[in-house]
Amino acid sequence: MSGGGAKPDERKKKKGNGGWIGCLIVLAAFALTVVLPIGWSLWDEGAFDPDLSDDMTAVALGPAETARLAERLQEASRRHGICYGWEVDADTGAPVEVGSNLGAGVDARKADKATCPEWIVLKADYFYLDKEWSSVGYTVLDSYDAVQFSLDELTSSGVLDGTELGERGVAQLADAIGSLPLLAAEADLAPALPAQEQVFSPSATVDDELDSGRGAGWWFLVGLGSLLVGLGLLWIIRSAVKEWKWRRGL
Amino acid sequence: MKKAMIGGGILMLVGVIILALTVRGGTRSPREWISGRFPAGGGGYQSGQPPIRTAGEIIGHSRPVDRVYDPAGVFLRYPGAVVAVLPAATGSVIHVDTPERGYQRWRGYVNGRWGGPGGRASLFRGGGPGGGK
Repeated sequence: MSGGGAKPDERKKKKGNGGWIGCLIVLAAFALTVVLPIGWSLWDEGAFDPDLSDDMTAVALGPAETARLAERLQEASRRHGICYGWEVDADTGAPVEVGSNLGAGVDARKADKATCPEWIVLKADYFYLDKEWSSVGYTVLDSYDAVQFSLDELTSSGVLDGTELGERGVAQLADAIGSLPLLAAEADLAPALPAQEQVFSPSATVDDELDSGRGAGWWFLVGLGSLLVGLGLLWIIRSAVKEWKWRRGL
Repeated sequence: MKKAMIGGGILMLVGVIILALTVRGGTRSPREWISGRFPAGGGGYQSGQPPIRTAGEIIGHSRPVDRVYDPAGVFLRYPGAVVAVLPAATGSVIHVDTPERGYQRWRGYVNGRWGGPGGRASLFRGGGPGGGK
């Protein structure tokens, strides 16, 4: 019994420590749920980039992308007798990007009549502000006098959104260019292209497979949710064990 | 113990809400809606409207996580399905597949955008110049 007098003090001390641990868990949860996501978002936006000068050479489409677009438009052009192309002003100070089914840098509008009896070109004008595209305007230019092409269908369904570019800025541009032959078929200027399953692609390899479709953000949120559940459970279990020990006089 | 129950309970509740919204969030698969909206035929479902308009109607009902507008048709990706809207003699034909089957089937059109070697997409990614990391 002589040592029994010290035990309640120790228990009180331990109980006090438990409060601190709880506070630390709450702070850690706050850091994970609020501070980290905001920091990540700022980093992702380039807020911590050391170079704050505008990139005067940035273009919208890389060489692999222009090659892909040209390749995809070639069959449509051959079947339709129409040249399809694009003119993109990224507004960064870089030269205006031009291309067509005839290749990167080849303007369908300037091709001779034998090569391009008719042409349809997508013109995209970006507004580059504070190191990113803030908006874009799309126009369809063509050699037809009596046909009016419209991107309204794409705009109304949200496929093209001139002000909310987000992470789909470049994909939007590719979709707009890829839609040109579909628009020509809709306007009865050309027959629709028959799609072929499992078309051979020179770039395809044996391990060519679908990506998970879940970006870092999805995995971060799943990890965060799991961590919070785990921490909460740990807190309760730890407290229950302590109380159980205290009641048993351990 | 009471404090731990409240504190731990709040943490667990917030975690469960985040998990539920993340895992269940996103978009509904349009499979059932398409089968109810469009008559079967042509190896898929038939629409009297051209591909861009038909795809717009499907997107209006269920927003895809990704899409590809190609000269050959419109390809929509959902968490549980790949929808291909292809031109037909009159209107469009719609094919609905599982993501893996759909990727295999239409790889020539979506390769590089939805996947690639090792499952890494490489084309037309990001928001353009300066659009983040």
